[in-house]
Parts: sequence; C-alpha cells; structure tokens
Amino acid sequence: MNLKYFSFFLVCSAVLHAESNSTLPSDFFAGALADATAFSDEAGKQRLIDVKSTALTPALAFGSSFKYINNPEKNSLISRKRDGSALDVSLTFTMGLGEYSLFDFAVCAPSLMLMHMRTYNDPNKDFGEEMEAYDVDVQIAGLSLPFVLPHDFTVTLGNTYVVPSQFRNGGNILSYSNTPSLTIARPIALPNGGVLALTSGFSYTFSEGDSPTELLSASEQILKQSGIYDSLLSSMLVNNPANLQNGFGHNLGLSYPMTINDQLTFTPTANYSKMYYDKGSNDGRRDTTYVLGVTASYNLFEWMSVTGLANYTSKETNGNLSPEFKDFVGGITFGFNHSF
Amino acid sequence: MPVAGISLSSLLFLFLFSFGCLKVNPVINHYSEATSLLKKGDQSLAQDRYNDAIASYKKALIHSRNLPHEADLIQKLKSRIKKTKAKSLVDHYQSIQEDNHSEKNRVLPATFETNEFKVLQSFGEIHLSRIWSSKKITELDGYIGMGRKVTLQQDSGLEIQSSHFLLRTIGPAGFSLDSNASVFITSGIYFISGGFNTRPPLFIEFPIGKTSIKSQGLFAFFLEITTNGGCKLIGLVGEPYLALQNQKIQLKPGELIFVMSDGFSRKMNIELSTFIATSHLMADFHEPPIFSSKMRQNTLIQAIRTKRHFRAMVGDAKNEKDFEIKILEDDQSKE
Repeated sequence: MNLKYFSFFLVCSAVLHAESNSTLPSDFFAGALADATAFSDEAGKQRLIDVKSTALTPALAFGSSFKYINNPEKNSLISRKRDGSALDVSLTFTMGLGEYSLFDFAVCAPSLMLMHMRTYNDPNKDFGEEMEAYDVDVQIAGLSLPFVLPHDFTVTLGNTYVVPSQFRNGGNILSYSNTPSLTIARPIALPNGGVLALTSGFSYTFSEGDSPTELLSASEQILKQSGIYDSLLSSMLVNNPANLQNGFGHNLGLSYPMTINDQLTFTPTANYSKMYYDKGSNDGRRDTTYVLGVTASYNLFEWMSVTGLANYTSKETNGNLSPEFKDFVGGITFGFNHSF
Repeated sequence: MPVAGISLSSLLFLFLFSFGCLKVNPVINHYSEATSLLKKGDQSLAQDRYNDAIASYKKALIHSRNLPHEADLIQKLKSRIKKTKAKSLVDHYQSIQEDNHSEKNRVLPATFETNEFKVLQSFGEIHLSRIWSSKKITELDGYIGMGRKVTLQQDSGLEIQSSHFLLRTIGPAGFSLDSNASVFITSGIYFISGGFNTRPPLFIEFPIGKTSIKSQGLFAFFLEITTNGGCKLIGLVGEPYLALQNQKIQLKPGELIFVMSDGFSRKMNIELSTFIATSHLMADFHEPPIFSSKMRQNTLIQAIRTKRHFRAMVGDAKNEKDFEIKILEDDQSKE
C-alpha cells in the first residue's frame, strides 16, 4: 500500500461520520437488574439513551506510547543490548458498517479498520544510531465480521492486511501479509460480579516478501560473472521463498477487566499463542509465545485516556532462524478518540 | 500436523459452543391425557360446574385430534359438550326465573362462550363479564369470547391470542375485546404483538382516543395507559406504523412515544436491555413472550448503536400536554 495514498485516505476519513467501538460487549445485560432498583415498577425501567442516527459510524483515534524495553533486540545472547526504549505514534480510522440481524438469534456488526503506526526505536539514543535500523512504519487494513450469538458467544471472522516498511530507507516495503482469522470469545460472569473474558482464535498468514530474484538483483552481474548465480538462485527458491513467513497460528487469551470507578479500569491479561510455519527453511518451525500483562486505563475525558502497561513475554521456538527470548516491556500510552 | 497441537487448548471452545444446542421434547401420551380430561369433565358436570366441564372436554378434544383411530372418543367428547351446554342453559334460565336478576337476563351462560381468543397463560384473579355470564378464569379455561370485558386484580396475569394479535398483561388492568382485531384498553400495562395477518390493521382504543397499527411484518410493542387517559408505547419488534387522527408515525425497536389528546409526542429512545430485564410483563409469566429471541436481538443491536446514557428515566403523562422525566441521582446511574 502506497504511503502517500494511505495518508490521503486517512485525511479524507477525518471528515466523515464515525464510531470507534462497534463490537458489542455481550455481557451488557450484567448489572441491568441491579441498576434498575431505584425506580423499579411493574412496567420496567425506561432509561433515556442516545443512539446513532446513521448506519455508517466512523471514528478516528490517535495514540502515542513511550515504552521501556528490557530486551530491545529480542534475543537471548549474553552480549545482547539491554534497557532500551521505543516511541510509537499511531492514527487509526474505524468505520462501523451497520448492524444486521441474522435469523432470530444472531447479530452481525461488520467494521473496517485502517491504521498507520510509526515506531522510533531508542529515541533517547542510548545506543547511538544503531537501533534506527529497526525503525519501521506499519500500515494495517482490517475487516472484521463479529457475529454475536446466543449464550454470550461472539464469533469473529476477520482479515488483516499488514505492510511494514522502512521510512528511513525511502519507504522500502519489507513484506506484505494477509491473515484471515476466526476468533471465538465468551465472557464468563463470576459470582463477585466481575467478568472473565475468554478468547480463542485460529488464523493463517499468507506472506509475500522480496523474491530471491529481487534479493540478488543488486549483485546480479557479479554473481553471473562468477557463475554461481543460477545455483544460488535455485537454492534460495527452495530455502527462502517469497512466502517464507506463511504459517498457521492459534491463540488463547484470558482477561479480567476490573472497574475501579467510572474512570479507572485495571485489566490483567494472559495470552498463549503458537505459530506453525510451513514454507522453505521455516517448514516445521514452531514458535510458542506466552504473554502476561496488566494495563491500567484512566479516562480523563470522553475523548482522552491515559493507559499504563506492563508485559512480560517469553518466546520458545524449535527453529534456527528466530531466537528464543524473554522480555519485559513497561510504558505509558496517551489516547485521543473522536466518534463523528 | 499443527491441528493435533490445537485440540486441547482451543477445540474446547467449539465443544462449549455446541453445548446447549440440543433440545429434547417431552413425549405426550395423548390417549391417557384425553381420557383423564374426560373423567375430570364428567366430575365437574356432576357437580354442575359447567364451565370447568366444557374446558376439560375441549382440552380433551385437542388431544384426541392426535388420535385418528379414536373416533368414538371424539364423538363422545362432542356429545358431552353439547349435553353440558344444554344442561347449563336449562340451569341458567331456571335460576333467572328464581331470582329474576336483571343482569342475568341479558347474558347467556358462560358455557356458550365463543372461542375467538385463546388463553395461552394465566395466573391470579381474572374476571370476565359481558355477553356471557360472569366468571373467573381458571387454570382450565382455554378460550375467551369476543366482546368480553376482562378485569385483572393485583398480582394476576393473562396472555391471550386471536387470529390477529396477541395480548399479555398483568394486573391491575382492564380491557374489552371488541373484535378479534381491536381492543379497548382502560387501564394497565400490556405487551401486544401482531402482524400474523396483514389485514385488517389492529385498532387500539384508550380513554381519550383510538389508534390503528399496521405493519408489513411481525411487530410487538409495550403499551401503558397513562394518568391522562392517553397511552405510552415502546417499540420492541418490527417497525409498525401508528395512525391517529391525521398523523402517522413509525415505531422502531427502542423508541418510546406518548399518545396525547392532540396527537403523538416527540420520539425518545429508551434502553431496551434494562427495560426488558426489569419489566414484570416479561418476568412474571412462566413462558417467555412471543418474539423473545427477536427482542434480544434488537437489544443487542441497540446496545451496539448506543452513543450515551442519560441520567433520566421516562415517567407518566399526568396532564394533556406534557410528560414526566425523572432525573437519576449519581449513585443510581452509571454513565
């Protein structure tokens, strides 16, 4: 996706009408009876609300986060860099595409998401300019079709298109990937009134990186003169095809949002994910990632929030191309949103 | 294969998802039910409880329709119904001669009551008057005739259905069943649904006016008679059109409107999830209301579409021009 056109689209989007969160917390009945005791009568409590007047509901969100990263290079070498930092800025446009009833028991609320995120590694320059090589732009386009089903289940069909690129290298695009996914979520009401959110998902990533021909193009003449071009190319076609990052993934997530008051919410989370690669030299590689985290989100205004986060990540793999590592990340995020 | 690795952690979800989809219907022995009701009817007839006897025989007839080889039983039941009606008629006129009661002179015995409205659910004290002799609805009563005036005491409930509409109410309430497509409501709260038959429209009369309801499809709404004699309507299912004098308005799920003496008030939106969860009309009956799954679907859609909650609740309309809004205190409301 061309950055110029993407930016133009984001600017155009800002003048449209929108809404940020179109998926439904399917536990919305929880607490309704408790809330209703004050004016309870036989007819039922008739509380006034304001509803959206249009089917299309756009929203715009801007966020910026500064994070401490214990293991910035994501490896387990003794000589690895430690105690790094990163600054993210992102602009996200979401568009609710209406709500549709299916038969008598399901509701589908499709939505579209476009995001542009830029990451500056080591903004404090603790490691000089070395970490700038990892600075990256990421453009994401996503289509989500959540189906709210009986018994509080939500099944979401989605597709995410991701394009990372190097903004310090003339916008060189690193790869493209399309990831269709199926996610099943269910909130579980606890006796103490809390809600435990359980999520499980499956996905398959179709990737497209530089082809071996493109990788060798810079030194094509020299290699041809040396007579090793053809053999090198055929070897790379087998071991490093353009779709090297293709793989099947699944994940299991658990979160427990604790509402302290109208403004403050603590959310401990635990996530397990596994990725099975199946192309080239990655064939047979299995990565397992465990993430334990907690966030504290404080809504200063309806349009602004501050979030503190802390995550511990552990990655295991049987492959040679990607190292195992452990990492701790802590930081703060400022978020601004507007629903049109 | 990766599929083997996901089975334990994730396929559990699919199992949980499919769990609960199975529904087992109980097996009914229609013959024993019919013969049991026949005996019960005979006992009621022997004690001159004609209404109970008729109700038992009619219920037995419903069961006997599932028994095509029991023509004798069907014939016996029909004969019993005729006999009971005849006996009740003789008894009725004998009692008129004895006490010369003026009201009784104008009505027929309840055993001759027609069956335009089927009683789906009932509980508590419910009185029927007009056209036929007065009676209380009991567990056995299956039908109410057109033209009846129905009065519900406190802590009672009734759900009836004609070929055109369904009405559910809890006491105290009072209404008259003018026809199988119109009702005159004098007091109480109601859940009314229709659209089973697109013609004719449903007519609802209340103390200060009359409105017609027409819909291309199925619909359901809540109705409450307000202190000023008008009514409050809340859309629950479908998008019916309401007509009053020269005005026409569409009522969508979650929309609330007052019908005043001079027409419709402005529309408001109320939170359906809270309303349905707190309404006795929904909770006090054994069976959920018709279209309950559709109502739940509409509450989901409304919850997705909700922008904000106001610290206010809609109240009564006590005069001809305006209605009450109650402000919620901080501790009674969540923004």
